[in-house]
Amino acid sequence: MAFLQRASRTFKWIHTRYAGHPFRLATATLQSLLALHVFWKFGYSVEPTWGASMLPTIQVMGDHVLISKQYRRGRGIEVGDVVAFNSVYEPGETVIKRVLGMPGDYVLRDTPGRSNVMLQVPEGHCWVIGDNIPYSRDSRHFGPLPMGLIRGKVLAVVFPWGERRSIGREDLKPVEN
Amino acid sequence: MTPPVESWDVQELEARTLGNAKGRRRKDFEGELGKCEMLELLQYMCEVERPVTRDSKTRCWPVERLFRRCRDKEGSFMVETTAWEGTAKKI
Repeated sequence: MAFLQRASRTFKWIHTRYAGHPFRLATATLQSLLALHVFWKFGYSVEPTWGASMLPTIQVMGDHVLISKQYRRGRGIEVGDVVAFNSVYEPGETVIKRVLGMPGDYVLRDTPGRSNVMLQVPEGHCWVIGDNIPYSRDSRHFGPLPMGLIRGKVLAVVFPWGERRSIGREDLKPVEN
Repeated sequence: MTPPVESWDVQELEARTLGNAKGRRRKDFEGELGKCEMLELLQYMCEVERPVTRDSKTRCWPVERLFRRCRDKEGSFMVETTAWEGTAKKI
């Protein structure tokens, strides 16, 4: 009952503060929208995904991923992380791939087993490849990705809730020699 | 714009690792890749049965990618050694 009383008190407070005060209501709405925008842009976001390029890490459709924007522009990203970035082909679209090389690192230029050509990732760039190699359009096609295009790091699949799981550099495992 | 990037054969890997991203010689690293920490990342070749829905059967075959985490004076860097020491099959 204490909860109900508190809820009713809050409701009364909202009512006396905003009912009949259109300017106050408009300001509060705008402030909330701006706060939400800032949170979405610089904090966290949950976004739906589509496509076969990150199988089996992310399902072909219906998965929603949690993205941390702390890592925007590639800050704090390491090899093995999964990142969301603005598409190089279609502006406005977001693409998700795994980072295999950071500036100064050495990576295979093509699909493993197809050629032995390598390159060194230039400064300010990273090398991104989809987990489902044959179905991915990635650095093998468009070359090194400018880190400025990175919107954030994919931390986990959070929806469907029953299939939630974390995603990231823990897939890069030490090998005993 | 991405600068032009030079690509080269895996045979040159050890010699190439002597230079950093700025094109200067790495300090405290002599190109001994075999002594660096070895890491493995599995990527995949997956086929989804049609029609594609969330419940479609997905079959995946792993593709092993190998890396070495080496250290120089400025910190650590990663070298993909899939072609250098791996047993990559043609896919």
